Amino acid sequence: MAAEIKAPALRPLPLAPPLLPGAMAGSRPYVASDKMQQALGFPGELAPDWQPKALAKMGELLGRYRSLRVFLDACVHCGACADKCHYFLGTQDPLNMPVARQDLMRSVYRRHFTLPGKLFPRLVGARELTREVLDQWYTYYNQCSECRRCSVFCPYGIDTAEVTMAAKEIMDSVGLGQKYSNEIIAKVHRIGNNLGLPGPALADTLQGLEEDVKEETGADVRFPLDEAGPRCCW
Amino acid sequence: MSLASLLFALLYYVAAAVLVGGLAYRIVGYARTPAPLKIPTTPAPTTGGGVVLRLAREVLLFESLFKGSLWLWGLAWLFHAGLALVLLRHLRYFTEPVGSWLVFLSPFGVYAGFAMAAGLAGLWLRRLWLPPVRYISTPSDHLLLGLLLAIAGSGLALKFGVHTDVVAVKSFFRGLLTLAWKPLPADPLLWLHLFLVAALMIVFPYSKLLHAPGVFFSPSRNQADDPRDRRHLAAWAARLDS
Ligand code: SF4
Ligand code: SF4
Repeated sequence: MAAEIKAPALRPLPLAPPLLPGAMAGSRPYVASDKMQQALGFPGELAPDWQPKALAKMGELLGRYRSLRVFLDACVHCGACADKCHYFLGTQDPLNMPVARQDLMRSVYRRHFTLPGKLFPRLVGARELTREVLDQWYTYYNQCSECRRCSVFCPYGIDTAEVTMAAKEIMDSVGLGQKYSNEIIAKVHRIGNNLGLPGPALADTLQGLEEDVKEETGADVRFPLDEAGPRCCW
Repeated sequence: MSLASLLFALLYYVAAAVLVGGLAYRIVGYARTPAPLKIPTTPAPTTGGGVVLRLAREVLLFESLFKGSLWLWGLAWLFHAGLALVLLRHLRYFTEPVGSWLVFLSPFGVYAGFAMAAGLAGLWLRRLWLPPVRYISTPSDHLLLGLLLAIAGSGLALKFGVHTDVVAVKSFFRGLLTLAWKPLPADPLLWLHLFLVAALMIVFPYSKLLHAPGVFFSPSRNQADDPRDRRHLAAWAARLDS
């Protein structure tokens, strides 16, 4: 008889957990290598002129995505989204509040793309896009899973995932890519599969599978590789 | 015409031009920027009519905010509903004759003034009190609340404290509309009230007050969830396809 499984009692979480600034400041993914970056057509690493390039990219995205433009303008800093992100609830790092995560980019948008930010940066919380700010982007935009939960509760439907995606696109375009995703995509492009298995290794694996199937079921099933016409793909 | 009347007439022309021109510029900008992805937040309506209903619920009832935070929703709704009624009441200064519906609404506008001030005070206390909200607040967030509260306060003081010559105020604003300028009463409290309102009109298109037009352009709220029935393609994305 299976052991009886008991679910732990439900623990109520405090509605507004106390803030622990900097709690997750050290948690950042590995940066993609220059080889992987270049395989995707991105610069291999940050060039000296990364800042104007990043701002130009941001301007381009603002012209391509209404979401980004409206979301950067419309936030009223009401905080309704603040306690809706599981990464904030779990870490208590204030920069993981969706609104604060957006503000990492909004502050740069205000400084470089709006009149009040150019005239009175301190008043509206505007910041130059410095190396420190870029590093904050890398840390905290990579701590957003783009789940969009925060957008459900925002009175204007502001979707942090849209901002996160834009930030990642800007960082990629100046040579600050994230290893995990970019390596996988580069492998798909260069080798043909996400694991980076070379052709012979894959052929060998498939042959092994054919033998296993034969052994288990007695049926001859072929696992074709790089062939036109099969009716099933694996 | 006194110098003050002349300055206020000028100020209001400038403020109205900035408000209308600035908002038009923003709105045209939003409308022209493509929305290449279908990203309505679920549960989303699947038809255009459903979208209209959803937006109406968002704008009139603050539906999403209701789900997000009850306290905040209550305070925000109190303030915005109060503001709407107060604005309607102020139409009396511009229309001639004053419609009967406006006469009917006007007494409510008075109470609404208190509701508006109470809502604003509550919102400000909340902003000062709750650590997460205090953390994300910029000086401009506090200033805007202060500005709105000062407008409400000076307006209520004009109604219940130091009365001003409202007939003359009306003729001043009618004069602005008809380009036959009339003097403004020389009343410091009235000047303060009018100056603050003009300031609000000028900062409107440059501040977070853009949430007012923004909510209508938010792709997560204004899209129908029908990408399987209809291919959704922005021009720049189509060029990548070809
Ligand atoms: S989209 Fe990002 S910020 Fe928003 S709740 Fe999900 S993980 Fe948090
Ligand atoms: S709920 Fe929306 S408007 Fe409020 S702080 Fe969050 S993103 Fe900004």
